[in-house]
Amino acid sequence: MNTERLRQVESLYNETHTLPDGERKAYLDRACAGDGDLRHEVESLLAYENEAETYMDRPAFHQVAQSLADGTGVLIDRMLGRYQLLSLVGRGGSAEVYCAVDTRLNRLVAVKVLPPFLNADHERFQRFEYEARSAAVLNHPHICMLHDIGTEGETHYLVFEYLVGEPLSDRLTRGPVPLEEAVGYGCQIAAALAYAHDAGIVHLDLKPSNIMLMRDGAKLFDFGIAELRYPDTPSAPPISACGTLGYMSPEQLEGKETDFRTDVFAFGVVMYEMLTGRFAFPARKSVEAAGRNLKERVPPISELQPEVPPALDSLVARCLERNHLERWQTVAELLFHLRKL
Amino acid sequence: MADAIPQDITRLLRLWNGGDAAALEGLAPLVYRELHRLAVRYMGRERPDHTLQATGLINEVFVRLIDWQNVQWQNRSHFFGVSAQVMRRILVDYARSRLYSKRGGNFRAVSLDEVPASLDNNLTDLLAVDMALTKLAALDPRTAQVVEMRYFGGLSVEETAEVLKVSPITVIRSWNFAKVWLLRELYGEQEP
Repeated sequence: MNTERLRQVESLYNETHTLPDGERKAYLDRACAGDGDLRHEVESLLAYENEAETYMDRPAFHQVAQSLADGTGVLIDRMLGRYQLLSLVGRGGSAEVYCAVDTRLNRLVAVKVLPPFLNADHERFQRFEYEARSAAVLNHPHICMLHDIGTEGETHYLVFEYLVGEPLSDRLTRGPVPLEEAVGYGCQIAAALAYAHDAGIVHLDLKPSNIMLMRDGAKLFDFGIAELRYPDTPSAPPISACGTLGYMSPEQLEGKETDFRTDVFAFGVVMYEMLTGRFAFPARKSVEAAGRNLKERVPPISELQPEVPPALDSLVARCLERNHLERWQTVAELLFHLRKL
Repeated sequence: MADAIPQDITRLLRLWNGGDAAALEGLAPLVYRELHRLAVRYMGRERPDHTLQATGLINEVFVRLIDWQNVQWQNRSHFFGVSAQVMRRILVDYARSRLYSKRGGNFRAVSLDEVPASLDNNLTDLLAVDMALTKLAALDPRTAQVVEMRYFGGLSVEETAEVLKVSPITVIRSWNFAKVWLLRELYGEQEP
């Protein structure tokens, strides 16, 4: 193939491309006039005309930015500090979680690699690091332990205890959790929250995907890294709108001050979902929808699951109060009542 | 590069155009910063794949930093052309380093079948296009340039036409042809 031939193919392709399907054959018969090779060239290109419509419709720059935003497991096999990353086990929001080996202690750990937007903002990173350090003091049987925090080149990462189990979010795809089991997990989650609150740490992103169900019970993770949920442009909505919006309290949605009672609200949403298998606030596709959603009545659990005792129903309902003053004021108090059930 | 001075960018682009490959090192951080900025925008959306304005890319990255007062560009279109080439080099290097850093730091020349397809489609696509485009350039430099301007430079049809001094219709025809040609090159001939 030389340039002249390619030009010939190009112009014939362009002419045929604009013709309706019915006229193409006759046109090619005439134009190629026995040049079978030319005809084959043009036809094999026409085979891609539909795919070409949208092909490369975004510039390369956007493709690269997208892959930066997606971050799809490109770090496998790499060493971050003393941790060798083995496989991608999950993606939370914009961070990636890898299963890794701690080469010094020779044990498995979970390494959470932070999204690149943190690199761009030093102050934000410091704030994040401060929060992570505070969360590192948490040592509780139902909280996933933070082992280490580090930086390799431009990559910031957190190292957690490696948990073998099933995220509650996966479990919920198979329907509600049986009453007794749900109350058991609820007590463990509440105990973990009460412990953390006592240490002055709020979670602010409690949701089923942050709860791991293991043989010996539930464990919470991602304490103290709520900072990760927001991109660094103040006007942008939360990143993880797809998953987190449904668990956000009115004060979070409205951008007001949050505190322990914010976790109480999210706890209520999680309990509701465990008991009913249904989202307390469905259809939260945007902040606006979520705002409207909050004004609507949440059907009482007993309407959906008659075997749930009224005391538990009202315990959860009190978590879901729109006004934080009407919710349980501490998780410890809530836990006390939950255990009595 | 937050304090990148317009004179510097202008100088670097001109040095690179004059054959100084090292000038790329000064330009790359600027492009990376813009990449991160765009990535953040993508992360902030509910539908990250929603179409962002595709044109004006060179504008976003270089134009506002160009010292137009002391420009010694032959003209605006010359600048666009050079910027698109620079962008291609930087993005391809970047994609390679992201994909191959795990294999010992320095990236190396790769062939198509070495690209681990499962890793990152956006980046492997980009490398594949770059390689196929080099092949196309050997056959038909002008059609390849259209792809370089449109895809790597993010230039609009009109801007590309201006750079290449051809009509917009010619750009559209070349662009349509190049896309099917690249697709066939990358995915092979389809069964009839």
